[in-house]
Amino acid sequence: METVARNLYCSSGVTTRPVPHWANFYLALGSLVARRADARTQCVVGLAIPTRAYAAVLTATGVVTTRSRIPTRPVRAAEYFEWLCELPIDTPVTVRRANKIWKGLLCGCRTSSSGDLIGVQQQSNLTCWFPPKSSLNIQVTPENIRKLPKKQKGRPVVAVAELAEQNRFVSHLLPEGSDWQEFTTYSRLDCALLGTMSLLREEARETTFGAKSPNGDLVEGTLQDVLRVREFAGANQNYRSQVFSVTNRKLPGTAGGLRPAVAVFDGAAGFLKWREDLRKSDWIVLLDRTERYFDDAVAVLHEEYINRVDGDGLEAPGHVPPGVELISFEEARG
Amino acid sequence: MRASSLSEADRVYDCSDEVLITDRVVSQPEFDQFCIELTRFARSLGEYAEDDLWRSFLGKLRRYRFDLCASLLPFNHPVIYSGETMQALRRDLRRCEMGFPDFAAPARALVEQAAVVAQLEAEPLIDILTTLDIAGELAQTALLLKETRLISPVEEELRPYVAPGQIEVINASRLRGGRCYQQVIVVGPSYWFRDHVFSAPRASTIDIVRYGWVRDRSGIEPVFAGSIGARTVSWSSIRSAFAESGGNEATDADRSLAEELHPRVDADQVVERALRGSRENGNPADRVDARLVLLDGDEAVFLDASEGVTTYVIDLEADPESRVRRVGLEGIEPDMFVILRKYGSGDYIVTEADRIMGQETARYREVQSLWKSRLRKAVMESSLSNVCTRLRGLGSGIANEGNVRNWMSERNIRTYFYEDFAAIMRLVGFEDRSMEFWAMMGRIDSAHRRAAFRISKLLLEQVTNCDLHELERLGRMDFELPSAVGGVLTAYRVEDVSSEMAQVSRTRINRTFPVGDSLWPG
Repeated sequence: METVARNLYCSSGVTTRPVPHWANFYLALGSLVARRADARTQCVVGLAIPTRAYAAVLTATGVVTTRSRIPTRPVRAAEYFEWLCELPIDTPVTVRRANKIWKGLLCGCRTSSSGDLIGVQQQSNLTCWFPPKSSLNIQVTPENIRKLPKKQKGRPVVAVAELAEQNRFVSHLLPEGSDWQEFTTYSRLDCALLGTMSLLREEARETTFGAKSPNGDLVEGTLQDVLRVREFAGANQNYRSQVFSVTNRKLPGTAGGLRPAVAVFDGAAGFLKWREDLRKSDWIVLLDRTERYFDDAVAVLHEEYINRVDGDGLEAPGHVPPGVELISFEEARG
Repeated sequence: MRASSLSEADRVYDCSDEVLITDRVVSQPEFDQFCIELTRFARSLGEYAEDDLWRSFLGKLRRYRFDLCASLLPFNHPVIYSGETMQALRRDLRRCEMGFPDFAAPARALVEQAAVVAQLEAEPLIDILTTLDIAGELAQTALLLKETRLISPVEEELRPYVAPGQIEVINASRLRGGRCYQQVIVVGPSYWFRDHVFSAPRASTIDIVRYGWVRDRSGIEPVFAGSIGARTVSWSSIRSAFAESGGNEATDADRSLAEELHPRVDADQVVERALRGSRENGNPADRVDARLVLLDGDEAVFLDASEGVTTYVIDLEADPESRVRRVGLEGIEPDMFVILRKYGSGDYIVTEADRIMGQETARYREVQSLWKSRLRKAVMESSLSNVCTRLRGLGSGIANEGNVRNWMSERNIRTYFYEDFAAIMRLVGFEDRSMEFWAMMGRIDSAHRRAAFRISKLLLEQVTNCDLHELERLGRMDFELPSAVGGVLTAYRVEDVSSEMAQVSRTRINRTFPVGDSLWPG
């Protein structure tokens, strides 16, 4: 996490300055909650803040970068093969083969004379079977594949050098122990943001930040490069977070039916509406003192506080910025 | 609308860090004395204060007192005080004297005191501004008022004394985004304003200017018990340099609590008053379920609560694409803006739908009106429950009191299912034309949908092009659509929605009316 805070700069294209203290606070807070490893309890952090501007995207950046140290899948082929075998039939995947990427649908495992195999249907009339040692070439994709074509040509694999060039900002920002290649290639829902879609999009995609390379050059990028919000990326892009608009009537299922590790509520509306659906995630609740339902959300947080389990909650990540109040406690997992 | 750049957000945090809040107590002996006596008198009335005679009398005096405290305008400013006000007050006084002779003398004394105050040649607002160190740069100072209806008169009052743009007169919603000032002058006690004005300040200097006879707090407690980073926002109180000491100092008991002064609007009470006398009269079949929506600027409107009836709103907190949308009554919330016709009543969608239907309009509308009036007649001649039973017997699957009331409403076009429509046609004697009428109602329905789409589009264009800060600041704004569509529509900020459902005559729906002195309950 410290890498992110130390290496993130505000960049106007002309001038560069380190991100302000309040921004570092949100990065550190996200990182702190992401580092928490107690699966028995749910962590709740509530904040009263003077403005929601950038608070959610910075907090989520802290979550995502910190969790980038955790591999998305088993590293060893045998374990990965077993993990794939447990996924439901028809799970959309891509297969990397002969410098091309092919779409497919998982179609279960079988045992042959040569050993265990996992099947991927790649065309309506073609299913390929892979042994454990090749299973690392199969990747679960966020793409919604319902029907496969009769014939597919495959799309070329992006060369590592090209990938590195595209992700320079990310690679300089991720903390030590993270694999930027894995980070940019594989999906996982680390963080859900619940707020106003257009504002979050603008903050994540339209504000330029900078990260310094080891030789001191400034590499520009946006927080979207790190957050990899599914809704703000192209259809086939890998993701690390999702945004849910508070104007939706109900909370759509998260990608792949996975639960986010951390839910960042950007404002009272999403918290009041959807907190019950996200009991399995840790919560960071950002309540803008100026917003319509601030008092209602504070009252609900107080009710949650009454239901807390023993424990001290999290320590504040450094000096709390002016105008910010923070409460932290733990609840039994939902 | 929140801060839109990192530098704006920076400034917001800087304001929280630097803010210095000062409570500046001002005084004007005659006015102070009048206010204290008004409080004493209202308390001495005890339960009688709830009587309509006293409510009207006290309401006028309280409104005068509140407006002066909330604007610091001159005591005889025409927006606050007029000859008619005094005449109405004297009329109330005469009635009260007859009904409650024991209270006649102090009541008369109060009216005389009000008349004396109104003769005072003072300009409290200008006086206080001269004692404060106002920033010379443009738009760095804001004058915060509780009531948006007082913004324009205060701007007019300031015009001769300050450079154009030097002081921005605002309401509290302006202090929610990324815009920050050097100084905010808060007119009235801090209790009148939401805590964020002080706990999430948008200025490094805040001066609270209030009359000393109002009791106020001296700080704001943390939000969360035992939170990290919690600090009490507190301020020191100083008497303004021009404050004069009155001969009759108020005791703590005499001082009004700030929250007592501010009209706590009881929407349900306003409904009760608005409908008084109308419940016993009129045709029950001509009523619809409605809720009262209180609007910024002491106005209110009844909105139809029937299923499927929607109203256009502007929601500044929503995504741009859903900022203008149609919502049912249950979706209308405080701080949204409801869009109503500026002149007259009626639904602008109906006007546009009629235009779309062209020369067929009269025939279709006549048929719509005909079967609905026959249905209403059937209800009047028997009862709602009797009509429901008969409709079910004639093949309707969902006839109940709510649905039948909805079907009678002019805002409803036709039933959702044909079987219910056919049952109504059998009941009202149009069985042989059932299919024909169903098709006609379908055309009206289709025209309404097209009209709604067109108005949405036009409104969205207007809202996109308008200055949303002005809408936020003034609490209302006119939108001029082509006259063929709807003419002038007005967006009003919603203050509250009544919890109780009321049965309201159709003619009162969507028609704004002043709430007046009901806001100042006795």
